[in-house]
Parts: sequence; structure tokens; C-alpha cells
Amino acid sequence: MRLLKRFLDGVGSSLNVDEDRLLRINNRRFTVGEDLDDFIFRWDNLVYAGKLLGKDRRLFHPSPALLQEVASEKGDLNRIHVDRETGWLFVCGRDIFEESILRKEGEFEEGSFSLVMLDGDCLGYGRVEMFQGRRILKNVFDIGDFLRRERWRS
Amino acid sequence: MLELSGYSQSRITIISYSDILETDLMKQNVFLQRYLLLGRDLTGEERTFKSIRINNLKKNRKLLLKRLNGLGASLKKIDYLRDGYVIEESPFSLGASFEYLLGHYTLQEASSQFPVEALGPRPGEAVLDMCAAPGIKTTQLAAHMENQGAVIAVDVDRSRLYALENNLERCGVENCVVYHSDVNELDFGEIRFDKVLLDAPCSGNYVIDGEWFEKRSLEDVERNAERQRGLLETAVGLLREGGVLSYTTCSLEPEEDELNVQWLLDNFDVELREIEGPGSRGLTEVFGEELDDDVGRSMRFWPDEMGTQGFFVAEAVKQ
Repeated sequence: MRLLKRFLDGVGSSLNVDEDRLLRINNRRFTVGEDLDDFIFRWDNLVYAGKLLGKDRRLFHPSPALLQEVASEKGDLNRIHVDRETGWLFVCGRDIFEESILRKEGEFEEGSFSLVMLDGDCLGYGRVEMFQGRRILKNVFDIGDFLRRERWRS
Repeated sequence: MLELSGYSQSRITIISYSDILETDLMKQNVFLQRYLLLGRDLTGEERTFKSIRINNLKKNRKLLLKRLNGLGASLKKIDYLRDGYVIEESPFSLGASFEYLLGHYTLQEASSQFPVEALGPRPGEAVLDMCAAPGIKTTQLAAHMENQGAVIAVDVDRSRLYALENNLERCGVENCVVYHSDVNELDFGEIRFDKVLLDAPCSGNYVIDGEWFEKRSLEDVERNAERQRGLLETAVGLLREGGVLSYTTCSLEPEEDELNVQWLLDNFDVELREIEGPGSRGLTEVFGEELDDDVGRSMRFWPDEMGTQGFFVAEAVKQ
């Protein structure tokens, strides 16, 4: 929970996660609706339940579902908006140069985190870093991960 | 030197490439002859069209269609499916677009969309998806249920469950619990389900696998049919009274379809529910054997008739 809160603070989110509905399976965190309570009965075989929030490692790695929920918040979030071309490079794992950004919201300073938005959808997030004297958004996670996981497994 | 099962090298070379081809053609003919006996003159060359299912848990459908259309994709609604669209043309890969990665739609063959549509799971129900991986139908169940109620997805193959988990995550499913287990060995205690989807492991069909005739034998069909009967027994045991079992395969072989449904009727207190839809009625005579008329309440998707892969669906109500 501490790592999750740190991530939410990092992108300026005020999202409240109901701790009573949190479920942990290995290093993954889920929120589980009451409809599912009766069906969680075999812990040794359980692999997934409810909504995946993300994974705890050294840092918290948010899921696309959590990112989208955070990105939908009104308020002072760190968000950058991009076009399809820049967005596609981002979901292929590339970083984003500041001059490719269409619009910024919230903080965009070295060390801060920002969500990457395309037409209202969240493509992932990154951390602002300096590269050869220019500010870039260093890719931390993007939804291209779904394709990479499939390739890695096959 | 490589030794093969006690045969000498000279014995092996007797089997020529043309012999192998001939064997494959014979196997193909065995299956095609069987279909002919069932009343369908198939060529073995039938293929399906590509289709998608729009995920109503995500973006507004009109907006999505407009966006895909603006990108040059031409989609046509499939009239017997609520959320299914044929991909008539697309200048980009629909399996690697923003909209796909964001879960706004899923690649799903038209006939395989039909069983969940026919079953019609509703918000608030408890639904068991027995052989769930890779989870395309699991996400469809959740979409019909509007993320309310519970979908319990079980599969014995851990490697295929990773794909299921990805699909749940990508499609925004929030009402699913996934177990890695042989469903026959999972103790559900007092829990009984409103609906059970048994999309049974089966022999498949040649429409989506160009090498199907080379790989399959009638022994496979018999082996799969027996395994499916074991799963059917488990499924009936986990249904509440009045609950509905959807039994579906992508096999054209009657041993895995109508004959198993006949076995279900003979051994359990269930009634078949009439399936409304576009395919053909289930067979009531198989290779000279008469089946109950009720078996005709099931449905077959023949490739030549529907332009899809082969598919079979039956729905049984527990008494």
C-alpha cells in the first residue's frame, strides 16, 4: 500500500483505494468487488481476482486499468498529450522529446512523473529526465507491454 | 547413427514423399467422406473471415467505429451478433493498434462469439467458465454482465492462463476470479452456478488450421469425446437447478457434438433449450444412428453455409 500511495502522489493523483477491498496474490495487488467474495476460496490455486492495480517490486508498477482510472480524474494531474505518431513510438517503448508534446498539464520538471494521453486514453507513464540538454519523458511503462508479454510467452 | 524404433534405415527410405502425401489425402478424404454422410459436401478448402468484437466495457461504440473508420478500416456489422463486426478492409493490423491495446475491441472469430450471445449471461449472475484460457469468451461473459456478478474462470494449463490474465486486464474485466486447476479437481463446496460455459477442448477443425487433416485422426476424436463427457458430468454437477449449461466445441465431428449431447440427455436430468440463431439444427441422425429429436435443438455452424469455422453449440437446463 505504501508503494501504491507513493506512485499516486508522484503523478499528483488524489485517488482513494479502499484498503478493505485490497487483495494480494504474490506481488500483485487487486481490488475485489463484494460480488466476488464467495468465490475466493482456494488460495493455492488462485491466480487473478477483480481489478489488477499493479505489482509491487522495488517500486509500484501500476496496471493500465489503474493508470486509466487515475488519468480520468479531474484536477491537477501530471499529464502530457501527444498525437498518434508520438504515441505509437511511446507504446513501442521509446521516450518522448519535449518538443513532440502537444500539451502539458501539471508538473513537467526533472524527476517528476507524467501520464501520457492520446484522445482521452492513457498510454502509459514516464519520468522527466534530461538528455543531451533537452527534457524528455523517459518511458517507464506503456500499453505495448501487452504485445511484448505475448511475444515473450510464445 | 540415428536409430528409429528398431527399423533399419533401408526400411525407412521405402516410405517416399508421395506416400506421405497420399496418406494425408486419405486422411482428408476420411473426414470429408464423413461430412458427406452427414449431408455436407465440403471441399476442405473453406476458410473464415476476420472479425472483431467490440468491448462494451470500454469506449462508446459509435466513437470507436468512427475512429477506426477514420483510420481507413472498413467494418461491417454481423447481423446475428450483438458486438461482432467483419473486417472488410484495414490498412493496419487490427491486432496491434492503440484501440486494441486499450481493450476497445478484441479479435474474435464470428462463430466463436455466438455461444456467449446465445447463453446471455446477465449482470449479477454467477457464471463458471470451465476451460477458460485464453480468455476471449471470459471477457465476452464479463462484457455481457457489465462487470457485475461473478465469472469464475478455470483452466488447467498455466501457460495459457497468462494470455487469459492479459485479456482480462486489457479488456477492463473486474468481475472475474481465475483458478489454475483441473476443474474436475477444484472443490467448490456448496457453490452452484446460474450458468456454466463449457467451451470444451476438442479436435478443432480444418478451417482455421491448414494442416488440420495431417494432424488429426479418428482416434483423437474418440479420445477428445471421452474427455468431454467427463467435463460435461462435472458441469452438470456445478449447476443450480434451472441453471443453464452451454456446451460448445469448434469440432465438426459428431462424436464430440451431438453424440455427446445424446449421452448428456441419457445420463442426467437435463432438458435441451432451443437455440435461436443463424446456423443449422443439430443432427438427429449420425452415421445411421437415430438420436432424440431434442438434440436438434442444438446448433451447428457449417463452414460452407456460414463462411465461418465449424462450430457447435448446445444448451442444457438442469431440472
